[in-house]
Amino acid sequence: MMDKKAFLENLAKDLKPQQPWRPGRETLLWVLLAIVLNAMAMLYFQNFRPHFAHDLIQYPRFTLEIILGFSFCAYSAYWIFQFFIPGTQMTLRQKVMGWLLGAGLALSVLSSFYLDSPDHGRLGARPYCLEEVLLYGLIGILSFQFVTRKIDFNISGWKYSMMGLSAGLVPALLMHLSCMYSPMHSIIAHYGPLLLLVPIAMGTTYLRRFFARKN
Amino acid sequence: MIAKAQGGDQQAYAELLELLYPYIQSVVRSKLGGMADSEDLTQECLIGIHKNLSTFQKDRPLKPWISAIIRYKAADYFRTRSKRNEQSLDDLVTNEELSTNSSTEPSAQDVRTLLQALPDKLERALVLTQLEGLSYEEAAKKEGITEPALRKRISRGYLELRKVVKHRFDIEWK
Repeated sequence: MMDKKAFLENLAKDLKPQQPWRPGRETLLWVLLAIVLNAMAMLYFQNFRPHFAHDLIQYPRFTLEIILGFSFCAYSAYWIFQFFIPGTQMTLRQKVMGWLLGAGLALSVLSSFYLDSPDHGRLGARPYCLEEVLLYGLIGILSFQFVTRKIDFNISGWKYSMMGLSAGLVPALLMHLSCMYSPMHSIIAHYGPLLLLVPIAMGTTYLRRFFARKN
Repeated sequence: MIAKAQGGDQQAYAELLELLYPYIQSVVRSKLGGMADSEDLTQECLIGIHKNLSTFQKDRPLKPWISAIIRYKAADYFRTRSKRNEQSLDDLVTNEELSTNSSTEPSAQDVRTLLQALPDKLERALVLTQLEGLSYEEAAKKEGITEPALRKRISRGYLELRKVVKHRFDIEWK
């Protein structure tokens, strides 16, 4: 324990001008950057599926799934950035909003078996779509950790899972546009990696906390 | 005042810390219920405030923000403390390592020996700053860490050292 006066003096001397933490701005930047970088990486390996834009116009359910997916992704990302502000709590309305978006996306995915969807087939098939989603999702998680690297934090466990959801949803949704379309394939190969990315996001955050404490 | 501090005004920041210190100290004392580590935890909380300064939102009240930081740090403290208790101090210092003079006060040589009983990082932080007389900036640079991280190590080092001294010499080091 240091002498109080010396301790306070040291803290004051260490002060540097702070860039205010703005969750809205961070979310916008993160989501836009993730979309652009993911799309570029996907294009580097293979073009998007032919007529994907036509599919978006032709099939409202498919369009709704993509919109709900990106909305849920942005919402999760926004709350992750919000939770870095100590004392932040979600109100009931905000929680319900998140659950509604998530449930809407899940319903939309399930309804793809019954409602009008883009033609099922192997058109645009990518040989490693599952691995690609996993890889891009991992990069997304690391970028989350990088953006928030300077902030000391302690968020309860379940909140970290939103980081994995956000980071995994961007490549998963883009993969819907760039890979072959088939409801079962989408669930297994595009959304499937989320099951791994969520615990990975939690793991990286716990590791970060562990090393922060060790230092 | 906090807005000025966020802008980099060290004077305003020093005043803010002076104001916050007794408040945090009283909250911490009530949480710890008179345990000896309240000063350490108070300083940990202030380091937490220092690191999180950019996250304070001017349009929101200060108290919930500070309370959350104190809550996190207290939870951290209790978690670490329960782990520490599992490791007996006997593992850290054996009587043979210490000089066997009849005095109950530690000699200069004992201080060195006692420091060796601390984890390496904590030992180096204390040796560099307290024995070799390096400034915090120099010591942090030498260790390849930031100054707040170094201060944290020093703080933890003292905490550990105090326990070791109490255990070996049966005296309360203040």
